[in-house]
Amino acid sequence: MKKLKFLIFYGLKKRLLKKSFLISNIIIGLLTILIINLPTIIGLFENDDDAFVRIAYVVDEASLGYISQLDETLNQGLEEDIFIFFETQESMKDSFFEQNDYDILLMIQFDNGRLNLDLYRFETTYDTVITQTIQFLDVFSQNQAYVPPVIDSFLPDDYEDPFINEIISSISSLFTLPLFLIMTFGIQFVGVDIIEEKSSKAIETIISSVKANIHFLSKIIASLIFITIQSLLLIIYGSIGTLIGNQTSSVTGVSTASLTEVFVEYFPNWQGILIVTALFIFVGALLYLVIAALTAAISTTQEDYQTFQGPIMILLVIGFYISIFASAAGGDTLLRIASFIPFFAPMTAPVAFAAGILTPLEVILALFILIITTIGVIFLVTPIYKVAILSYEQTKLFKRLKTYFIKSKHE
Amino acid sequence: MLEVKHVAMSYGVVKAVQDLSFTIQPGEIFGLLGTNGAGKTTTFRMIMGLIKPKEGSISYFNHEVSYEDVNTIGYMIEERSLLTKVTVKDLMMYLGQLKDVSKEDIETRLDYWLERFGISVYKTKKVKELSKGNQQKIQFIAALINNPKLLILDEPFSGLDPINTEIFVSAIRDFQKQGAMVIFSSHQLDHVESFCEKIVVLEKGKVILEGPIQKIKEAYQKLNIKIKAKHIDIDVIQSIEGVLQVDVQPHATMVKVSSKDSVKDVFNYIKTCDDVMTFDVLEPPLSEIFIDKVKNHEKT
Repeated sequence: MKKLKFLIFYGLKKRLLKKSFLISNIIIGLLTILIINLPTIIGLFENDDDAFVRIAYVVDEASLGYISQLDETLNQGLEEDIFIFFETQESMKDSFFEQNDYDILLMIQFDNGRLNLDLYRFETTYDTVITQTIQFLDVFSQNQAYVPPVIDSFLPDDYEDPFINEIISSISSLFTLPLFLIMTFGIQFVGVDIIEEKSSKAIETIISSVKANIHFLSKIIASLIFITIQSLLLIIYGSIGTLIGNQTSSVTGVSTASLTEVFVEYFPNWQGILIVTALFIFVGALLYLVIAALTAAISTTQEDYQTFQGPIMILLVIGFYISIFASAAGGDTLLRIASFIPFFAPMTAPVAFAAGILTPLEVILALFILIITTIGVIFLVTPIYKVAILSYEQTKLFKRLKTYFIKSKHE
Repeated sequence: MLEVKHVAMSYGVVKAVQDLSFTIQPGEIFGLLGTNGAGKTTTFRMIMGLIKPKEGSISYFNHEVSYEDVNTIGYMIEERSLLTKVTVKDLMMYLGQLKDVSKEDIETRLDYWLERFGISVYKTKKVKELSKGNQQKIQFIAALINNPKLLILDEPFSGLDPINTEIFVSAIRDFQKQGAMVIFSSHQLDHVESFCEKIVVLEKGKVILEGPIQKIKEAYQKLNIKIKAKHIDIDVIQSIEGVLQVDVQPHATMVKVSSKDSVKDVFNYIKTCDDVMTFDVLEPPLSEIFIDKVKNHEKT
């Protein structure tokens, strides 16, 4: 136990006190802050003049003269109007979703002293601004105690919110890129550490002092602690980014939400998503670290390791791309299937869960499959590692693996 | 005391070591010899408890050897086996603490050995900045840093000049005097001969020679005769029964005979030659016995 603790501490100290760790974290920190505040940054450069013109027809049965007031209020301060209002008849509502000439149909009626508002439109971008303006006008027109209007809104039957895909895509990037980075760091950490000791043959002296399985365990635990530290640092960078975003908004007056706020707004179950993500990172990282440790152990030289770690990185990259692009490209089925494949699940399952592609039950099943696979891999790898770490075969990867596997059965 | 009893180890059909037995007492230097792939490394690993023998037993100070004993064993492998990107001090701190040696003791012992090897100036230098010879010294110090009761040295002198070899020899002798057991492996058999009292020679996992060196030489029977005389008729010598080989060298003639009996016959002939200056009967060197036994084993 004393030696295990010593090796873990030594490995962590060696990695955390390196210049490369400091430099990579400065870069990652800055990038995280930038990504978190991307909407704010875009907002600073956005030009309202580029907005599309919306043609709105209004049926003003209440005869409150809201058409001219809406025109005045919604286009106020703009160089060119973005809303053009026309008065029309109630019969237009039957054919509204079958035409392309105008964008909005607003029906204003009074029923028992209460304003009834029916809003027909093809997308939801201006819902808030229109309804709030009507309510604002309504407040001023009422003499007695204010009764809020009844608002009914209508969309085409085949409507799909385009913003949801954008949000999911953004969240995928927000989640997956750090996950990918953390996993890559972990694999590098454990692999480079082991191959450095093995290729220099220092491993002979080390293993003559500490058991191979303790050595293996120490590398895995040190890497997991390293990954946890790196994840916490990312959370800190994210918090700093949100804080900076809030400060910038108050100074510039551009009230665009940071990605963190968008995330919380669009995902009411964000706590659940974070827990699921943390669990998948932890177990997934463990699976990849064990395989990376074995890869380093069966390698004889640094070149060997660079070659052998290729397939691991490819698996990681496939998972990364599926999680980023599958949801945006409408590949829900692919994302769902990948979430049940242990090597892709660490990156795809949290995204699929956040996007509502996986139900809570399904995500538990995906996690269960990942855990079982990881345990199986640990049991399979540990005896092979014990043999491989002190062997220096120069054969091809699979022949080498086979030899070490056979030897492990005999030792 | 280290007692290896009928130890065998195999990996599938490959028999790495077969029926190996020997005993080493405290203060003894033991030679474990063999060609490459003979089973020496497997034997070392079994002695250190890194792998468990399939058959037989290894007793270390009257108990079955296990990983718990590694802190009292020092091991130096044949090739360079050092982390090169760290300083000498950091490396020793790492390897020493893995042997459960306190930081203070590591520092004291490191200073002592660096001073003794005349390389104190390299204490804070990175290992990769050191010459091969100095790296060899650092590797040797790493094997000694825990003051081992059993020191396993695999080719400790490879790449060393005669002066540094002498420093190593003196350090090993000191350990011997302190009562440590030393297992020594080298292809330089003159070193083995000067160091060890007992040896075991392995070939493809099998013991082909074992015992005290003097007894091995006696049992070998073959002798070498160094002759310096004028007008020696080589054909006559070759015709003497028991003469195995005659080698005419620039300053002497070397005759190999199968037994003591043949020496007398050669001597009787040499008496008849002119100006006989030297007639030396020499024990065969260990290297000759080693080569002979290995070749015979290969034939069988």
